[in-house]
Amino acid sequence: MTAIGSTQQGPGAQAGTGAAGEVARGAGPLWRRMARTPAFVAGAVITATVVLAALLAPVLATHDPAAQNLLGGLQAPSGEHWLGTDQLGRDIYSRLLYAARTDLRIAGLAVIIPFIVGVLVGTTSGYVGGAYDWVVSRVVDTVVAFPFYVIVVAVVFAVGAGEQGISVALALVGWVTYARVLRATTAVHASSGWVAAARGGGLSHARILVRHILPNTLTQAIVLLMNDIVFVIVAVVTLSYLGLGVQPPTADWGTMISDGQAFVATKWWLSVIPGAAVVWTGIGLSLLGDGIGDVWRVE
Amino acid sequence: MTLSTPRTPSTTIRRAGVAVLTAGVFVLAGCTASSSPLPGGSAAPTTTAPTPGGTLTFARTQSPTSLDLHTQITANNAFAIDKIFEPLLSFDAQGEIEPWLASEYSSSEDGLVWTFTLRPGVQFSTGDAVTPEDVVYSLNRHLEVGGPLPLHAPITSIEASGTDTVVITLSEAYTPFAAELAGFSNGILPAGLGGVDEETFFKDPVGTGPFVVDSWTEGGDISFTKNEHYWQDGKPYLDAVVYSLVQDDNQLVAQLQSGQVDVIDTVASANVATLESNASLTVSTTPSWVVEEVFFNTLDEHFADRDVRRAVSYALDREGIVAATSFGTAEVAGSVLPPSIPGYDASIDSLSYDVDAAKAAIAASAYPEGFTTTLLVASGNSLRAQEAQIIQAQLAEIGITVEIESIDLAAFRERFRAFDFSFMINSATSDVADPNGIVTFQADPAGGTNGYWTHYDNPEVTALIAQGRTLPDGADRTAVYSQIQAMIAADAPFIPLSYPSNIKAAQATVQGLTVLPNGSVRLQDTWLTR
Repeated sequence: MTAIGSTQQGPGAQAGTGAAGEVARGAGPLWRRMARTPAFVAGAVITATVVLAALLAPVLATHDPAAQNLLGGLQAPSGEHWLGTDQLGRDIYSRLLYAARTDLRIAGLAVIIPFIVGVLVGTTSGYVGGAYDWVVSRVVDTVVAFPFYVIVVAVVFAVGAGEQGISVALALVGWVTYARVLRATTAVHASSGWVAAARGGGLSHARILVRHILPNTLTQAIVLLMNDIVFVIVAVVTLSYLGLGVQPPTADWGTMISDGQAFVATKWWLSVIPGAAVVWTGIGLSLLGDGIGDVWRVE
Repeated sequence: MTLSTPRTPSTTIRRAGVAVLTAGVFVLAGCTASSSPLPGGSAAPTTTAPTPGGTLTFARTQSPTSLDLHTQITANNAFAIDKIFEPLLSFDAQGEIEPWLASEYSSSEDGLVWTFTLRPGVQFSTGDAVTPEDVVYSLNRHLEVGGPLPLHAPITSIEASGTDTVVITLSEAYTPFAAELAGFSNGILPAGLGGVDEETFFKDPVGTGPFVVDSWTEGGDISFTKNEHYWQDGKPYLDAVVYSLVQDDNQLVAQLQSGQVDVIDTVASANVATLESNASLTVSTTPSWVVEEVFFNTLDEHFADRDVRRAVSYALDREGIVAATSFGTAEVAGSVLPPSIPGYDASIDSLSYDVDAAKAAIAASAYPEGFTTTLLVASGNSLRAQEAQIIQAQLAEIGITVEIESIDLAAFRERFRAFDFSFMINSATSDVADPNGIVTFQADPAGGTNGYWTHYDNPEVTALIAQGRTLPDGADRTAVYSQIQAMIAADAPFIPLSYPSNIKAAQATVQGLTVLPNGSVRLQDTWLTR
């Protein structure tokens, strides 16, 4: 993220032709801006806890997350099982950590492709305009017209439940958000005087797009990306809750919530703990997304 | 093919029988003499007289797709059909055969000639009297259609005699005949379908049952209104019944708790404690004819191998499965017959949990290194989801990698009926209190369901099943069924996991809900307090 950030131009750079020349400028002030942005700091810290939990799951876990103990199910939290056990006697604390891995991994993978596709399509469409832009816009409008979960659930049914199905479904739907935003901002820049000047100066379309326009529009896409990860994690959890997502015995928060549902009245922690993990992750990523936006908007 | 009775298995719950309590006043739990722990609180049996009127909303996770009693077997249809059509004989909450549309019946000394006397005053919902010709027509249609629950009795003739008598002649003795006739698929319909074509008739069927179809969306809700011509005086008490389709068993509980529905057809064992703690609800737990089982497609490349199936049987810790999933509502299973069916033998070798034996069996099979396979389960059923994960973990111990494929119940049924599965978790329900029923549809290749879609075919077992049908009740017949149970367990075309209870829950205002051992309910006895 810092790498991307440092190539970024503030809006102030727009007026000039040479955004690229200023790449090196930012590290110091950027870090200071970050540190001064509470949302960014809080978001980064919260997100870091989740990412660390996921990365260090094998070290932090006290039990094999898939190991069953059929006669030791539904135990309350204790010294042996810090957060108790689920119906099949599996250690909830260990499953919670491994579930973070599962959900973050799927969410990460499921946003990358739509991000790349959306940025490519949106940027070219906004820059080129014309018939190509018209076609892209109609496709985007069509996808947007469907309620998100309707189309995702339909795709998962067609492709098959599981990680692959989730990735395909989210990729098919997710790119439109990026494409819309990038198209709009690119179009604004493309019609501005400095682009005309750059063309007049002999720069190629490709160079203008990649070196000058993209650095100015990417910020928004990245802020969007952070929010999208939150959204995708919730989608993964939701699909798993519906039995369409992560398949057993892989631990994930959605199936943990779903499995605990029958016991909500008697063993509330079974669903509440993984639910809280989803909320915590969501807050962290949302704050981080807002924080990134704030940092880059400062100038 | 003279098999006998059968019933069907359905996926889950099956038929609906409704039994009536003849005396009327039972309360939900009151139904059986069995262990019925009922509920909590409020619904204790009341002594007040039933109040007529009201609409009962009955939530189920499945919906009827056809009301043709001769072509259906699964619970989604059977327990709607049995509200509309009634057989000559029926069975009560304990599974005892009782006269129904026939008020009396008898068989000749040699068991070949059976005489049924129709109950006076029984009418169809159109108001037309039921005649012996209607009975002859109905049973003949069933013989012609065959279907998944065929009349297996070796019938040579069905004749009307006089104004109220039907005489059925068999070519040889057939012990389970009365039990077979008491199944829902032997309900009585008007001769010639009352003059309309089949499609029209089964959209809005005419029967003698307590309810008639009011409106029906195929694959969705179905609503019934009371049959004004019902033969039991004053019944049904309810004006209407709505079978409401609900997505899964968590939704069932949620809708019951929020008061949207009056009765839920099934309660996941994990939810029982929660519901029992709610004073405005009652929970009924009664013995059932249901067996929860793992079924193998014996045409599958891996499961065609008997040693592989035996290995799986040894590898599954059924005690553990029952302990973790039933919360005290089910018993560990060994035999294909549940303990509530006469002839059940607890002493057979059921290849129970023994990891060493499992490893030896898999080593002796064609796949000593193990293999990867797919376990098919219906989604929306939390019990099955948990069982599947246990099976997955336990089979991993003997080198079998299991992927769980969880699909919607309707799709699940399509799949196993097309033999498009490797192995699955499902349940079978006897329709009658006779051992012939369940062994016929599960183990007789001519039983109507290809061994409950396992394609199991062991000629020795088939011969014994045929023998069991003709032997009179007694020690010899019991010995035959013990042998059948032992041989099936040894071949392991299916592995009985548990004998669950029928668990239903209702608002405390619902009275007289009699639960039959096949999982159906007799709604003509049900009423609502205000």
